[in-house]
Amino acid sequence: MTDIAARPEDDDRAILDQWYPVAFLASLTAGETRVRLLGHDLLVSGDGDGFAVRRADTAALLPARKAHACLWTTLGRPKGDVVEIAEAAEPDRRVVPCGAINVRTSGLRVVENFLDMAHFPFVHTNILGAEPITEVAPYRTEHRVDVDEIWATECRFEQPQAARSSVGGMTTDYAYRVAAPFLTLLYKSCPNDPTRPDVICLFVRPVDQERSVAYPVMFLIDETSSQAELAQFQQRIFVQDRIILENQRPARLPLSPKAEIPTRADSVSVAYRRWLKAAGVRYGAIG
Amino acid sequence: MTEQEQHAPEEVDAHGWRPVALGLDLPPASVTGARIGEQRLAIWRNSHGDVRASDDRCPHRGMRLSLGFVRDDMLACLYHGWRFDAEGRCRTIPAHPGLKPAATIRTTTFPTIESDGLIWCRVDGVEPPESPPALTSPAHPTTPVRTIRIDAPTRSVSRALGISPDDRTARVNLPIHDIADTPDDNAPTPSDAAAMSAVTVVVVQHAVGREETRLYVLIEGDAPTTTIQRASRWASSLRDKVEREHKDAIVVEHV
Ligand code: FES
Ligand SMILES: [Fe+2]
Repeated sequence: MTDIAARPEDDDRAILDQWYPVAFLASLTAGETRVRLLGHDLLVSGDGDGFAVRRADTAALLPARKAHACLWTTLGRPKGDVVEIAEAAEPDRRVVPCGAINVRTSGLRVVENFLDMAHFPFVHTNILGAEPITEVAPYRTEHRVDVDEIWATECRFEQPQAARSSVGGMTTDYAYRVAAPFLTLLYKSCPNDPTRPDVICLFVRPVDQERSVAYPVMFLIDETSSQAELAQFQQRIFVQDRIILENQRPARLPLSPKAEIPTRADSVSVAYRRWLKAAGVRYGAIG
Repeated sequence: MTEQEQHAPEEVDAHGWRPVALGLDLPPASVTGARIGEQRLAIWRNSHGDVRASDDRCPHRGMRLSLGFVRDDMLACLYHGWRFDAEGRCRTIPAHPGLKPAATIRTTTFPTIESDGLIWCRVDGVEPPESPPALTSPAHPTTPVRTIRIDAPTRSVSRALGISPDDRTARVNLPIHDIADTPDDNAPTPSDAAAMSAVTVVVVQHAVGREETRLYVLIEGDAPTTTIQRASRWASSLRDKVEREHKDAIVVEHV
């Protein structure tokens, strides 16, 4: 798998038997759209409100689902349906797709960056963090074996402007969830409702081993900001992350514990890498 | 002095002292990127003026250190702000302010020397000799002009400079007719004209990649602004000529 455009090997079930987003529903137009997933060219065609996804080479029809503002497909046989997000079903949630973002790196690096709080003061300066408050307090990391997901809970960070709706700084509580190798979401204390967190998802489509498209979708409690304002706020943050992501070497996520040096703040990243390695994930990874 | 002065040819691309930046292009407390062969570098200067070179990769999560910043006379990574001292040892991990980083957390560093207005570095691991090649005699300090990037192989640049591809340094006397491009209302005074006719440009070339050459352009001795501008224009036209000829050559090869 030295070729970056390579497809996963047939026994790479951890990658093949997953649902992947191919597009935001709102951006799909009538007619045919070509997208690449795991090195395969797919053709997405829409008529009325139904969509069909086929492989460009064999014309074989692939499963398609509409969920969480995206159209999803798979090249394998996933055990379940597209990830369930309980909050997404709450009637007063604003669903905010933030615009697809192309990133020239492995989707696994994109997910790992999403799980990281230590970069807030340096990369999202004066929004999600600011020097001199750089400390990452201890948090809890676990592998939930029953659902086979990685979780980080009891995360806290002091932030100058945690959300579009924040006025001034606040301490934000986070919980992170990795539900699939290329699929992650976070629950974050919300300035508008102390009991129900905002949910921010990052669905990643691995185009190939070193190219990805990220689909951020938010499920928010916010009745005042406009849809465009909400999307712009999050877009700005993802653009800041992209500068980092495209300048990490190597582009593929190293899974060997010796390749890069973690610290205590990286415990969720360490758990994520270990979980990928145990699942036999090779696509977008090295070592 | 002859028009060209040849220095020892290099056998391996990454061997020996290589020019990585004009001193002028690296102000105090800043960092820039460079490359010698396959080795990517972060070249940085502390607030006292000292220059250091480090592997351009943070040991934490692989971020390019050349996109970082200098803080408290240490090289800081843009991603999580880890700071590395002059020896490459990690001294600060902002996520854990109370923690003293283990001595094993470090980046690889490389020797640097600043002389004749250029910053030199070597990555071949050879015990450094006393100094990189001298460009001029100590009695004639150089005046830096600019760094110019040319999208062409070093051999094409050498050909245009009239030197052998193994030479790294060329000395060029700027042609007199260049004076014509000075607008009339800025006509040179007799003393300026004298200075212009004597201008010797020192060009140091560095192969960044197969298709990319960096030229460091300096003037021998002190030079007034008008002369610096003139040397800079000369370098631009050299770049344009080399890039044009290189493109044409590629077209011919593929016909
Ligand atoms: S990657 Fe450099 S500090 Fe984290
Ligand atoms: Fe970020």
